[in-house]
Amino acid sequence: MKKRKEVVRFTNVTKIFLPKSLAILRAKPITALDRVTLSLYENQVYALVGSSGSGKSTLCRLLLGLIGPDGGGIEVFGQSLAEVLKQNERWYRKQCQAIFQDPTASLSPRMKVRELLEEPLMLTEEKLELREKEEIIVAFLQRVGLPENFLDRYPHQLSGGEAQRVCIARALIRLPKLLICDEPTSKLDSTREQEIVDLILELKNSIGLTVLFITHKISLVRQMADAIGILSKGKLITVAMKDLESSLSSDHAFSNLSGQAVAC
Amino acid sequence: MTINARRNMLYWSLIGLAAFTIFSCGARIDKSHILVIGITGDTDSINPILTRSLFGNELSQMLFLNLMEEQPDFITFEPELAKSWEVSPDRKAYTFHLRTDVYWTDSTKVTADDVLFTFQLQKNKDIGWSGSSSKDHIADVRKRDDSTVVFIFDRVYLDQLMDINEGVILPAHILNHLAPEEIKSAPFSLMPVTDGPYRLKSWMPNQYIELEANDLFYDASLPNIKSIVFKIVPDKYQLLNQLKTGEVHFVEGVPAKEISSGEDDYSGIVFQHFPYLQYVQIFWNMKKPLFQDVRIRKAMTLAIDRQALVNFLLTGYGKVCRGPIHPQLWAYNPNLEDVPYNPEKAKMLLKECGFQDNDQDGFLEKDGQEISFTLMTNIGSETKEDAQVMIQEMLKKIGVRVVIQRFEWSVFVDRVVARDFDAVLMSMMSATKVDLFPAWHSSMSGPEGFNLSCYANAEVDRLLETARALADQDEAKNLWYHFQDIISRDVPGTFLWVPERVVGLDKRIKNVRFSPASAYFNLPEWSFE
Amino acid sequence: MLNYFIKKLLSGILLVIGVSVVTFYILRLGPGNPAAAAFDPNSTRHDVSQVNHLYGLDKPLLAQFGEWMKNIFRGHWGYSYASHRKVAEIIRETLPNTLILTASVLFVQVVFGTWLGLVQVSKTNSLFDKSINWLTLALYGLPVFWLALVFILIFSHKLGWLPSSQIVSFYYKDLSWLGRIMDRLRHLALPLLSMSLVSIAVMARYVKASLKEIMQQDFIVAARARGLSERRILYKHALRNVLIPVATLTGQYFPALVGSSVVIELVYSWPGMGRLIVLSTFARDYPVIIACTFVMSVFVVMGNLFADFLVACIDPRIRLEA
Repeated sequence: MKKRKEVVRFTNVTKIFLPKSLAILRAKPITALDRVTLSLYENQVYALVGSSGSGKSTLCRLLLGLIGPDGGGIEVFGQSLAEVLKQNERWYRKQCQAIFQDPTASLSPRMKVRELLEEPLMLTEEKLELREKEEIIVAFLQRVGLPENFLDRYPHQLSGGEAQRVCIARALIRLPKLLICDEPTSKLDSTREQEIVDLILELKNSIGLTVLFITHKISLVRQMADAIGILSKGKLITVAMKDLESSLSSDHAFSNLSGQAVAC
Repeated sequence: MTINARRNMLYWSLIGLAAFTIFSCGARIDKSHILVIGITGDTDSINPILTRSLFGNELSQMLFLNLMEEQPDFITFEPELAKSWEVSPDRKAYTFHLRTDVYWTDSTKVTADDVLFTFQLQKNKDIGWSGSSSKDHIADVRKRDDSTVVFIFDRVYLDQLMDINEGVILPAHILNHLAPEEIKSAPFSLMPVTDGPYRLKSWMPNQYIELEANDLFYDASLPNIKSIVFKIVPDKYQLLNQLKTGEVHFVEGVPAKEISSGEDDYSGIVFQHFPYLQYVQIFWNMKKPLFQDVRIRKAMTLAIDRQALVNFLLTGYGKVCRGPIHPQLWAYNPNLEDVPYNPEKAKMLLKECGFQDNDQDGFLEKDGQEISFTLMTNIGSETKEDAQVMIQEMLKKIGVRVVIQRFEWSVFVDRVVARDFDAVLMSMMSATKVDLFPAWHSSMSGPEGFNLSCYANAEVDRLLETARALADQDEAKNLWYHFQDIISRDVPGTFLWVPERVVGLDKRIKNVRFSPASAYFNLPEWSFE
Repeated sequence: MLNYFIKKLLSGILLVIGVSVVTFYILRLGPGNPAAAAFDPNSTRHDVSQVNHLYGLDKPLLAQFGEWMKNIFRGHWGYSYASHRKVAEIIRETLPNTLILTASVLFVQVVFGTWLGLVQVSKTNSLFDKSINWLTLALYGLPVFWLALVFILIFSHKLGWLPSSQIVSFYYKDLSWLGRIMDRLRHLALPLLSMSLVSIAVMARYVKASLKEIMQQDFIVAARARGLSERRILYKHALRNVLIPVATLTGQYFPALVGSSVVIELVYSWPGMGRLIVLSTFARDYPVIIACTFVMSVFVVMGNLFADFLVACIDPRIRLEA
């Protein structure tokens, strides 16, 4: 098997939250992530599954650098994330983009699609002419399968699927290497879900994206994952490669989880 | 960051600059010659025929002329618009000779027509002039020539001159074509044409009334102070603070306590006081069974230490009042027998009436009925509210329970008019005219009258009827003395005190004289040092 | 959209009429009457019934009401009982003064309140945030009249910096135009300060709370994830959204503002409608009271309507869907 480049590596990452209210009275810390170790390779779809509260979002936020770990180390593109954020945050922000669970809510309600897509452009390319900008925006809009006339719409005028496409366009416009998808289809019906999944897979193949795909749907995992991690109560229980599917299906924890997932 | 810091600095310095300009940009105008008088309430109307307030009437005196000037003894008169007058032998006709050098501020001459017209207006029921009853016995006013008018009376009595003089003379040529309703909205009611020592410069309702010397005034030497501003500040204590800071130069009606407690705070201010025509009294409602017995009313009076009230509430600025006629009036009997403070005697009187403390609760009863009544006054007068409490304490000592009642002015007046009270503590201005008929005649016990105690005494009724119709002052005096004796024996009311008016004024103001009826009696003669 | 405003307008008109009718009856059913209020203890003649007759108050209540309605529709506001002047004239005189005061308070409230809330959120848990938090909390509970009295005591009587009463100096007319503006500002300063401090506190806390809520929302997290600067997130993404609650609050707060202007106008002898309504109530000056409540309720309704309109303008979701 060909050895691929490691994009993300978590080594014994621990994250502990102190409950905010009554912190003095009963400070019972919650261990959101408990010595999590995982590796994510280039051009791979890593599916992270787990029930709610299992620490998926925490992992996601850690990777986005929104919060810092309490223990262990995170490496991205071969460098320590903390270092990268300190010295080269702009660069990392360009490499790593995210889309979220609720596409409508993650778009500023008071901005039109054009403004939404324009904003990341303003961050990357220093000087772009208005016409050039417009061209790029339209191109990316079309890339995610939306017509040009969506530019003047507000988020609330978009369906969930359309909004998620805008989110994807907004993420892609900065030409990232790593795309974090935090349950991007959970608010969509099954047809839209399939469309989005297909889009992500297609992008992965055409651009060479590395994808961290967080979900709790087994069907999606089967369909797209190259690697699977199962989070349960802060612990990454199993890491299983897709080519080892046979052993995976017999895995105790996963079947447990799948039962849970189906139930919810 | 540095850009931000610099921008912040710019903001703050701009704000600072603005604040500095606002604070420092006081007036660069010389206003040392302007007299600022602080008052707590605006006039209800500038128009003398419409005003019902004390200040409105005082303002009329500054802006307009009466025929004569009433003197502080309230019996003699000096010439004003009329330079002289004579009385017919039967005293039913008074002839007035007007000055011929008096002009309205629009340069029209003041003539007999104005006097005639004013009389008509004052009698007009649709106008509802508040002083109209003073003209009841004037049958007619006739013009002999442009500067001579005759007042014809249908009867002879002591106060004929006073009744003639009531109300200032108004300009006929401005008002005579207006219907009564139109007079309210006429420009005259906002910016009147006047003939007095002052003219109205501007009126910003509830803010300022600005007067300036009338350059057409017949006495060119007056007024001394050419500009007067009345500044209206409803809160008395705020007004006093403005007196301290020099924002106002003159405030009348300073609470007596203010002087005793904080005179040192006032630099450049002197306090003067003068007898004032006000009196404060309790009326016992004689329609209530309790107060029908003279012994009860007397016991109450005996038990109230009026000197203590004067000492404590007025800090000496005033004196105990003995009878129904104000000490400043000529009819007052200085030898009137007073009811001295004597709680023991009060207790005896109550016992005599059959009141005893059977249940040992400190309050007396008779036939199982506790002796108790409500004492009503109006909200807004600290002195009276304090007095209520003190009286409650004093009467408790003789075993009488007093329930305190306070009402907002309009409600208070409503209840007074309806005689809906047990006892009422009230302060009033005494009229300058000695006529106690409306206050004590038995026919005046209804809503139209002022007999608040509903007092009825045939002898007093006869005295009141006779005295008001007498033409001879000495004769009248005798009757009034007699009247005062009976009242002080019958105690329909308890006369508490007559306060002095305290005035705070800038030390630079000179030549100030007061009349018991007004602090602005000789305003045109005031001057700055 | 248009339907919405027409509906709102109609209900507003109904409200105004309702308020006037209720005021009319409450006034007459309550104790006291204009003649009694006008009663001056200086006069030995009192003419309560005569005054009542002059004002037509001896007629039956329903007839008085009919008369009043008829006059209102003819545009006659009648005459004040207390000052005998035309009611319309009195309103014309006092209304601008109240508007000057409330408008400046509104302006200051929105600008400074929003600014404070914004800075607090941008510097969460800093000393500035904490002190402002305590300060606004303290101000929140302060009675406006007390604040007003304290300011008079400090700035007017002790320091002598600012005038404590009236709207202009009596020598206003003799001033240059710059002097006039300064004179007005000097007189406005204390009423504005005492009235707006509390409103600023209210606004700042409200803005802070709404902003905090907004800052938790997905699109802010998403913006952070995309590496936008905090400043840009706050000003570009959050602020736009906080303007909606600000506009709503301003609309809702307007009646309270009119209410507190009554107190402030009394304390500072500000010749506005608030003070007029109090003085008129004591004088039982029915025509003036009714006119004042009418005008004030019109302004409250219009204020609310305007706030709605503003929200619709700011918020695209409302503009296109309602």
